[in-house]
Amino acid sequence: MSTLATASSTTASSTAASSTRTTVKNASLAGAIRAEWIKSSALKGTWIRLAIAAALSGLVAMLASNTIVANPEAAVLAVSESGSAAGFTIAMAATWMGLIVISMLAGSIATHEYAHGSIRTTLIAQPRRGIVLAAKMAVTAAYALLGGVLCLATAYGAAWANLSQVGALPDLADGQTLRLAGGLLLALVSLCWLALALGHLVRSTVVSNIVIVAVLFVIPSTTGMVQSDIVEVINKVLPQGATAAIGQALPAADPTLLSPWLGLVAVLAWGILPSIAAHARMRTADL
Amino acid sequence: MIQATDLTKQYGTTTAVDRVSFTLTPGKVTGFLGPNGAGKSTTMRMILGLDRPTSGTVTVAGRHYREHARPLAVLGALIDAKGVHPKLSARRHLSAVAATHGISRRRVDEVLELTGLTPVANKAAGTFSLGMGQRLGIATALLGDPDCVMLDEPVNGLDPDGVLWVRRLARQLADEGRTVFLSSHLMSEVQQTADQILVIGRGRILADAPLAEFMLANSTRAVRVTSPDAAALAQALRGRGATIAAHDGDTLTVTGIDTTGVAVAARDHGLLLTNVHDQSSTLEDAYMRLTAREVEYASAGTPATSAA
Repeated sequence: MSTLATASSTTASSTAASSTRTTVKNASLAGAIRAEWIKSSALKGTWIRLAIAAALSGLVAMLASNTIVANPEAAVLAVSESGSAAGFTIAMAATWMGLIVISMLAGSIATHEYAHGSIRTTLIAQPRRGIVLAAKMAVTAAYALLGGVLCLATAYGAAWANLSQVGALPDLADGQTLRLAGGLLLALVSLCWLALALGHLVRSTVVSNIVIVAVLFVIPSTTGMVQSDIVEVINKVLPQGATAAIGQALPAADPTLLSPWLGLVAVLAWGILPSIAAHARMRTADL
Repeated sequence: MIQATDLTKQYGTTTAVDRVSFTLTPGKVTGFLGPNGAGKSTTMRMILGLDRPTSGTVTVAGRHYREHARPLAVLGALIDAKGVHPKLSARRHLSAVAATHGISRRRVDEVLELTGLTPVANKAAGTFSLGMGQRLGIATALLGDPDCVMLDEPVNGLDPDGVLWVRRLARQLADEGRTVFLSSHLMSEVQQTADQILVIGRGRILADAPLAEFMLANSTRAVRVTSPDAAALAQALRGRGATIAAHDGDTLTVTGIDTTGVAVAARDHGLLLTNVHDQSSTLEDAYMRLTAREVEYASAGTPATSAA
């Protein structure tokens, strides 16, 4: 500390500011995105979470594909159910599991700032709170896409051998597979925005995670046991149902799903509506 | 220039800042003094737009802080020394702030050097002492080479050398024509640096004056003298224009004369002095008196408690 103090005393007496005025550009959205990326990418936890998400997806995909191989009836079912898409369903299910970890990362992009008080530094540097939220959403989307691709690739790789064995290997050039992959990645982004928005609204990573798990797993498994018109609508707009709707070929005929376009709207609504609420809270909150 | 007009902040039924008005001018260090809970930090947060005023306005260089295109070039602020992600290094933290305004890496290195943090630039901020955290906060405030610098309790946790450094830095920034606004709950911390004093207590401005004027208006000079011939000494001192403020046995408290004057009067009248003590109040005393009734949280037995 003494070295530190001596050094600072010497420099303070000679240079309080730069000798020529520092070039300072306008505070822009691009600058805010760069700042958010610098902060989040410097944390080991970010990359560890993405790695855990990918590993979890791989594990789930391997276990699910093992079940298919071990159960000849399931294997027959997998093959008979529209071929490649059935195999892709396994990778998708595994990626939903990975999303739990990715959404923890998304929530923490907001909650860590409140927990450590760095939100003040962030808002001093960029006092337009809408821009700060938009920058966080952009960075969150980048992690969601990166994490989603990692999870899908790991799940595909982990299940490849088993799916090949029963002839249910997804055809990556298949239209439905591509639509499902696109819908899934969009849903990952949207649900990560939900986690981020919850982080701003309740400032708690735990609450944010509980909501994500509830939306992805608890509510669908509960509504699956109940038969009613309202429950049917709920199942259609839940992330998994809406994502499945995006994957349909036109003209869509499945009565248990929304149309592909409505599915797209439902998926985006999961992220955008809470983000609007988060913006309203941020605009009025004292920090 | 920072200008507040009737700035008020209420939290429920509590008024944290009550119709505060002031103008901070360039080229001066203004010390913002007040006991803990007086409203200093709330006022500073409102200047930055972090807290929304219940009523009134505050502008920096003629506009609300958030309306500036390059806020960091207008006002640099240290609000919370611990307001950094603990796992981010000092350099990463500064780089992130710099990125918002396209500020160069060279400037990041400059402020690290300026604050003496270069040797620890790559260490996690969570491992920093409070003093190092203050230095990082000051480095962040200076990053945009701002016209105004606002530091909330900047010497908290600093060692004596660090305190001296902050004083010199504040002086130098003001000499460069910047507006410097420093808060503290201790008069002794700002009286050696400030040109202007702004005292706040329970959300209200109690004093807003140049330091010299504040000292003149609030300090008193007194001499406490003990003599076996106290009555005769009192008469001799009155003859020299002094006032006997208190007479307790052999001890007199005298105003309007200094210790030398007392000694000369005693010598001229052949009186014995057994003790002479300068009891002039310090600026700290004046500040404590001014804010005694305004202390939000006082310990039992302090003047604030007895005054309240």
